[in-house]
Amino acid sequence: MYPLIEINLSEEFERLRKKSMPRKQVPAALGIAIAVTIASLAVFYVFVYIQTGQLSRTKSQLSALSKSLSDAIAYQAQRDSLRTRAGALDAWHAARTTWAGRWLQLAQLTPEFVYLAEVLITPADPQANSQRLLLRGKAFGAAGESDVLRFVDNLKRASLFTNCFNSVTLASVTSEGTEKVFTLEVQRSATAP
Amino acid sequence: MMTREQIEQMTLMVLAVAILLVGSFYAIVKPQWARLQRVSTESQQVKANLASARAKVDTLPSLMRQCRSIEAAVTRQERQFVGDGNFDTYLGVIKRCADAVGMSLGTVQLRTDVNVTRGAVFAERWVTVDTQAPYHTIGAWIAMMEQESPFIRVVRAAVNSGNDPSGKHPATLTVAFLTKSAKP
Repeated sequence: MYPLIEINLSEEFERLRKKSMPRKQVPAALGIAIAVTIASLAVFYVFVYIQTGQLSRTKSQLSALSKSLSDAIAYQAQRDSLRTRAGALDAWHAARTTWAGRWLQLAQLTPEFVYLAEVLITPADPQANSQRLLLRGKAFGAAGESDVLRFVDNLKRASLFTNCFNSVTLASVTSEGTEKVFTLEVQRSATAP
Repeated sequence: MMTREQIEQMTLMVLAVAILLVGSFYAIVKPQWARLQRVSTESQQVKANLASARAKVDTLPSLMRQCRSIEAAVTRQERQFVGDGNFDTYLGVIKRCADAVGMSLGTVQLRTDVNVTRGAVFAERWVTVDTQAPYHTIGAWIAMMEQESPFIRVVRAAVNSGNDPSGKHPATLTVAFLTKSAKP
């Protein structure tokens, strides 16, 4: 079969002929575009899939640790609680003023002509650890004031008192006839309760 | 020079590609992108949690050792507490020490008006003791009480010379016992 001579064909025939011809350029370009798009989407999908897989693996690692983690958290809470208890006990020991030795030494430090009329131990604040020793007494004899001052000096030099109390203060000395009546304060400042 | 037909084809192709891209963007890329964002945010969070968990788990042996040693020390000290917050136990100790030094007891009373706490776990119970005894007998009683337990302390004492010719002085002493605050 011989091909037709195209120039002899009418315009209408030519248009119909071209329409009936397979359009090669458009499908090819479209195909390429679709292929590129699908390929890009596939790469993107794979990337998301890898990321999701990685997340799943991390999650499973985390869940594998959960038992040990809950143990660690429980032990940490227990340690904190124990530390609080130990801290409270340490604070008690730091605040505790022992009086046995001081009671005895107080008698030894009192000069011969000095007599104590009142010994008063008070916590300045019950919740805090401050403590105050108030001594009221009398000094007899000619060297009354000197004896009182000697008593104060003795207290200031006694390590049992100076180790624990911040201040030894002679609050007052008054004369009652031949006697000297004095008030003495030994004070321990407050520390953390 | 492009023919009209070629221009049409080109336009068609551009349109088709544009529609394809827009369609795939909204139908596939956008949801996947959102998913990726979600996954990467969650991943960062989970990785941080994992690192933190590993750090905590690594300290587990050390934590266990610390717990054992602190607990042993605290328990050892708590065993030296006198009684469990009950007045009868305190009275027993006070009486035993008084008998040992020959000190007669007057009124012995639990101070219910005092609420001294030590941390959140311990509290002090204050007991007031009235007596009449020589200065050194009171001192001996205080020494015995303080030796009885390191968790006993004298918080208040008032000793007057008095007028007793036998050398006995009226005294009021307040002793604090440390106890677990959960108990009455």
